[in-house]
Amino acid sequence: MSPPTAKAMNHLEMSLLPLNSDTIAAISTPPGRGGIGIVRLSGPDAFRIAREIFKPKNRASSAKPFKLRYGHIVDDGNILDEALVSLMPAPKTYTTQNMAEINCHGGNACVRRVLELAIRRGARLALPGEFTKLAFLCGRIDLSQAEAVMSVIGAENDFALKSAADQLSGTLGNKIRSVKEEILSVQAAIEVAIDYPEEFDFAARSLKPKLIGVSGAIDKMIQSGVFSNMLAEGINMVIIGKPNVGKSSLLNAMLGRDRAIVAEQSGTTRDIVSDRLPLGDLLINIMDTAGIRETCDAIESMGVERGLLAAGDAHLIIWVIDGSSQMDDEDERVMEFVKKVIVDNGKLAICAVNKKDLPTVVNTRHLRSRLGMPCVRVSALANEGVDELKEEITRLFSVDNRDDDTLVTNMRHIDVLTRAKQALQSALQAIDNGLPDDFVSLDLGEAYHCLGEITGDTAGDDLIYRIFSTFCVGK
Amino acid sequence: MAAARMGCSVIMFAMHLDSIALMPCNPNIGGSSKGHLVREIDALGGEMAKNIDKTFIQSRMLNKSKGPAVYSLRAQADKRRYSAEMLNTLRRVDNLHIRQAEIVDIIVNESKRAAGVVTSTSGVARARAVVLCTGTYLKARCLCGDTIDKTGPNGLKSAMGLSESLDRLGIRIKRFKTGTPARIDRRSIDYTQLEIQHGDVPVIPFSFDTRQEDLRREQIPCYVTYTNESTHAILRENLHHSPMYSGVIEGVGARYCPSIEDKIVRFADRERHQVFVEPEGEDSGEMYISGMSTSMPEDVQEAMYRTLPGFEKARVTRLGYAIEYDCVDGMQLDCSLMFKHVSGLFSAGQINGSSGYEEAAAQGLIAGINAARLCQNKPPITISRSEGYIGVLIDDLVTKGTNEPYRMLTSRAEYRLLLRQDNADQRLMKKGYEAGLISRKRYEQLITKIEAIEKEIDRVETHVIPPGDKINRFLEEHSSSRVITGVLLAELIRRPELSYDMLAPFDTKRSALPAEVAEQVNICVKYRGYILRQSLQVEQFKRSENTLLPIDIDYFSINGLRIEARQKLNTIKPLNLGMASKIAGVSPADLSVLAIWLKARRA
Repeated sequence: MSPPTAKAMNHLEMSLLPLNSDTIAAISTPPGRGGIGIVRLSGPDAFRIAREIFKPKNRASSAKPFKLRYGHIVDDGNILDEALVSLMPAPKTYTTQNMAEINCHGGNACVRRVLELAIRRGARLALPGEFTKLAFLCGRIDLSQAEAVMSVIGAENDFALKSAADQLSGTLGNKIRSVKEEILSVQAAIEVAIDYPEEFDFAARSLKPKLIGVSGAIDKMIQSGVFSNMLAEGINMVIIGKPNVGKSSLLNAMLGRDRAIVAEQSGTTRDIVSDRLPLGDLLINIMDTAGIRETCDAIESMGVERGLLAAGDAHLIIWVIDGSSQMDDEDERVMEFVKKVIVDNGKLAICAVNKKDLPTVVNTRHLRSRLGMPCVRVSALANEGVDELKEEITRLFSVDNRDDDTLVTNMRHIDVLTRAKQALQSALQAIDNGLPDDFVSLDLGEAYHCLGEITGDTAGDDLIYRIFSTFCVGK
Repeated sequence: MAAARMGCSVIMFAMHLDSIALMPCNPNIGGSSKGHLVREIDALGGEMAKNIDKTFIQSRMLNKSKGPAVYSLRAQADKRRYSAEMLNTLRRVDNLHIRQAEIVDIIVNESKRAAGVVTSTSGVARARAVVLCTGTYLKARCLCGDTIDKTGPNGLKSAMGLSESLDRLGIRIKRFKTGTPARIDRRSIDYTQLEIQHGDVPVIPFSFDTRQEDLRREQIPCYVTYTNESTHAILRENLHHSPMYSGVIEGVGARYCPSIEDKIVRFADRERHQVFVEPEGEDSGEMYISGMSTSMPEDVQEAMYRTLPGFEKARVTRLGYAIEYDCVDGMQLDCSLMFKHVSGLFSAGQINGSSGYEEAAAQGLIAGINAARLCQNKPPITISRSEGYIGVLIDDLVTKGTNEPYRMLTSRAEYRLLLRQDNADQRLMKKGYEAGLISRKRYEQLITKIEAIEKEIDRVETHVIPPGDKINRFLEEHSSSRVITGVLLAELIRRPELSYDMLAPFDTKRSALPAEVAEQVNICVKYRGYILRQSLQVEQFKRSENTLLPIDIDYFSINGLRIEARQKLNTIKPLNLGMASKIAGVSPADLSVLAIWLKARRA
């Protein structure tokens, strides 16, 4: 039997294939701690996304279709995991589209991270049963299994809706509903002015602050999603600072054992040293890095670079300085870097003023007000102040310290929220670019529609109801 | 008229021959989304656009700053001439016989197919298809305070017999309500206290075929004023006299067309409401008071209108009233507007639950075309939601149904960026040509236009404008950033502050093109990103529309469908997956389940 080409397929199959532009992604191994996890991509961009997130070890070997290749999953140059990847060109695949399968280490965290990466690169999280549906429609699954496929989709849909409903009963549900309401109210204002131009004079521009607020609220929900992942999978903490301020000593002090080699000579640590540290309910993935300075030593410089990259990817940065000597240019440089990642990337940071066993010349209070981040005086060698540092970390990550108790934990929610945010950004951009209000409304409609996927809404007349309940119109 | 032009022999019955194309309410055509309908009617070969172009007394293009898809053309009509012109047009149509009579019964043969009608004077007209356009006449009654008149609009005779006949055919009937404001003696208003509104110069026509020189005429101004606290006080004190609130009215009114008493109750915090004062015609002595429809008793109406600034000495010429009428549940119809269970019987306009002249005209045209197609044994011509506002209108009426008079709104059209009033000809004229209402010559002109547009878009998307002092000076003058390297002409057009026309001096390879072609090129290039996005959605929707759902499916027997979806699908019985996807309560997963079920069944 020849494979079904798009042309040969009938309307039925065509009608339910994802939109031309959609590439779908999903974890296709059961959840839990398996030895291996598979993330599957299907659609026109499957190969592009796979190539962007996967770097084969042996670049020279040509990528043969259907052959597994070994390499690394990378995110902006950071290696996340080892993986085996195979690319399967259309049409002889499970879904008849281009497909990529990424085999990575099992366990929720790894697989999820790969999936997240794929979504960030433009894939859409597959709907419940979507792969199975595609496979069935293109004849990959026997017709006798139709009933089974239908009940799988039905059940997954029911389950998805039910778990959505469960999650939505609480704070998150209220938040999403209120965000939806806000979007609808802006859209209704635009629409009523379009449908009743003589009665309402209104420009979307005037509601820009409101839209920025809504976008911020969605962003916060997405962030809380990231935050909750962090609680489950460990907080990445990176120790940085110029050479020889005692970073490795601090690592050892925090772990309570000699993990890193410590020496008088600066530049001892050349690569990242990492370990795990349980801290109350929290799990800290602690990483020590090479000291940051301009160096000619090739290996050391690689270590420095990796350290900076790790800091960029960390949830928490511990910046170590030597409190017994005045801050110099190298300290300033590190400080600039730390300040930048705090402001630009919203990282958390603590400054550890080390060597408190020696006479202190750095003014901690002054430093604290200058940096706007917590400063803790420690002595890594004398094991003093280490408990205070740990307390400070616990405090930063305690749920109480977040001004927001909503935790988005569902991957689908994060996917939907991300798409809603993109649509809102597009609306704001339309306003900034001076596009007519019609286009702003179009983007808002898309954002609203996205959020409806969480609340389980289907096609409806919400907008029109809203227009007529809010505005007084008519001849 | 459409059916006669398509070669059928047609008899048209009207309650009153003088009420053909009568506008019993507002004296205007078009407006937001309704203007789109008029353009679409024109593209299909209907008459409304041509008729208003002949008889308007003021015309304006609204929403010009809000995007090309929502431009809204609206014209004040000379009511008397609008009606007279239409009657003239009708009289010139071959095969069309116009007759005054009230129809009281529909003849149905043994295979439950419509076979003719019976008049109140026992006249019989046999036909292979019957189209009902009962407007607001069906079992109508007009209410004004405590007074109830069993008349149709404007004191005309109502049609009392037909509802029973429909009932006998098993057709579900609903009761809707609408209303109209009073008319005021034109000479009794002090216009110095009112804001004046002039028409556009030059006027943009509704019809794609109207020439500029036929539009030249003196336009007549409209006026704007506002209600105030004393207006509201009078209304509040007399609410118990309103049949709306005393419980006399049984019909369901529309939220978007509230009476003034409704407005002050539902929006009690509003200090004033806008009122438009519009002439009913060039020679008419009456003004239409838009925004103040009412069913209050006579004395309250008189007092209420006189509280408006400039209306201190206003004299009412006709009282406002509410009107109740029978209509049918649109969900009994298919997209050709034929009753699903009475073959050959069509209905169009208010009888299907819509309101508005344009909505009625659009349905009338489709029903007329399809009645003729049925007689000629040809498949119906239907319009999809992705092809036109007419498609949205009919799909909403027949799949969603409506529990209030349905008005067209741009917000109802999910693909509105593609359904613009400026491209109605490109979207629908082909169907008009297929129906036989558009001549071959006219259709070929359209093809030439479309080819010119496509060719020019291709050129603009590849033509590079080199950097230079002249272009940069021009860009700076329009607060646009300078160009350093060569730039695509299309990229410049996409800048919000620039347009295709503005860039003509720098486009050395441009050939002289008709303005209508240039306009299309500008819109398509400028908003390419958004248009592309919506085109993809339409493509997906069209694919799902091509997957037909047999009418005999028992949705309750399909495992995997959610209960709500089973109920909705069983009631509505959508014709295809596209229609099913627009039903509230049917989720994407339900559609997947349906598709798989269909495939298994087919095998």
